[in-house]
Amino acid sequence: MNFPDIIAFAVPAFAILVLAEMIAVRIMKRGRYEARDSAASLIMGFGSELAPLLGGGALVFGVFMAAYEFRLMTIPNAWWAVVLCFVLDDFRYYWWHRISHERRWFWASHVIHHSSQHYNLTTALRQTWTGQIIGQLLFKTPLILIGFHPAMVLFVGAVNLIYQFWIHTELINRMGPFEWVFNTPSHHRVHHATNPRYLDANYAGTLIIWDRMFGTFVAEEESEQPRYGIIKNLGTFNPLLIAFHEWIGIAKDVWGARSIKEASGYLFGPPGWSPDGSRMTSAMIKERWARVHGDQADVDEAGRVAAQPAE
Amino acid sequence: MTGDLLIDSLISIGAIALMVLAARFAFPASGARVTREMAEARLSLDEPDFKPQDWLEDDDGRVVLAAGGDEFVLVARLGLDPVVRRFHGDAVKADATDGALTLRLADPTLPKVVIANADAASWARKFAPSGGIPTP
Repeated sequence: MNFPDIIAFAVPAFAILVLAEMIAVRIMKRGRYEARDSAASLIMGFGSELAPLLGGGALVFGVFMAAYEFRLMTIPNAWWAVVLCFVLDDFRYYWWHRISHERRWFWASHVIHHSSQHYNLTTALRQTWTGQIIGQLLFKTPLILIGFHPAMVLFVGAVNLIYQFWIHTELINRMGPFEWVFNTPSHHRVHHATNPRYLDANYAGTLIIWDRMFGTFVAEEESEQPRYGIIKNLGTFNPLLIAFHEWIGIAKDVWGARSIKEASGYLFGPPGWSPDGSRMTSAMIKERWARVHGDQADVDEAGRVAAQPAE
Repeated sequence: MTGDLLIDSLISIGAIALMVLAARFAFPASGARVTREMAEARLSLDEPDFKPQDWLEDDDGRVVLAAGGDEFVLVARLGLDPVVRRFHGDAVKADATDGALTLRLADPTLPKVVIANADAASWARKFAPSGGIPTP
């Protein structure tokens, strides 16, 4: 069984769908586009395809092939193995994505994808340039050690990424029973929102069941439109600053740290962590929202703002 | 760089140019301004515990600055969208020249903000006592 480079096949479709979405947004007056924001997103996407060619891609594949030599069993390249590999990889993606939001080392790479205040198909293409070097290997290698061939693991990962393209749109509203199992535009709008109610939710790639299982699922509320972006939205469309701003911040913080513990906190603590609590983590933002709107909001033990019951 | 990669890259650059031109054509820039009302609405969402006591609006609608206690919040604009920064007076360098208050922030994506307003000089003094650069 051969595993084609489906990302290469998908790129022309991405371009056609972006143009189609622009026309639909214009006609339906639902959703937004801004040329400079789209340009930044598309350049980030282009760069993310080139970045692995600097050596990270070869390193990853080399490590995968080496790990395959130590596999527990040999899983055949059959259709059922591809399905099984896809589901397991989607589970892997959920935790990779979750830690990418909960630890600054990983967030420094993933923040790029969230750095637009727009939510359209070009946002899907706003991808990191530093993903290969931050520890992605640690999360994918177990599948290879189990016995899935590296080419299959890379293939199902690509399928997952392609699935996630179409959910970056405001044109599609709710999708009925499909939403029970699959990630959808509505679920993913919540994930990209900075409203305290929506922070740190819906990490799924393709299957939303992981969020439902691990308590991170939040439904989109008709009464609360998502505000997209990040807590401290960027003041630039410059792709280089978009790519490296959080790394610059980490470098400054670690340089100024007064102890190893502080440096570790800046590197591996939650985004927004500071030794004196003068900055805001997402848990602190939720607590503040609950404090200010005490009679309207409630925060659970995980720091999530609970949805209010319908009247 | 191999020939295939070069050709693929050129095709990608062409596709990006096409999509950006389409966005420019279909969604022309609207020249949105930042107003105090818009800033107040945004602060109620992003900084709900900040209590603004005094406001400084840029004459050209690029940014609004609010003072509350020993803190400041500015609402600037990036394209169509607001960009909010909250900081203490000693975290920025401020100076006023030619009727404009210039704030320099330790933020690589928003290093400098200029607010044109006749009250620029008096606002620059608000920053000086906390350690900012005094008005010349």
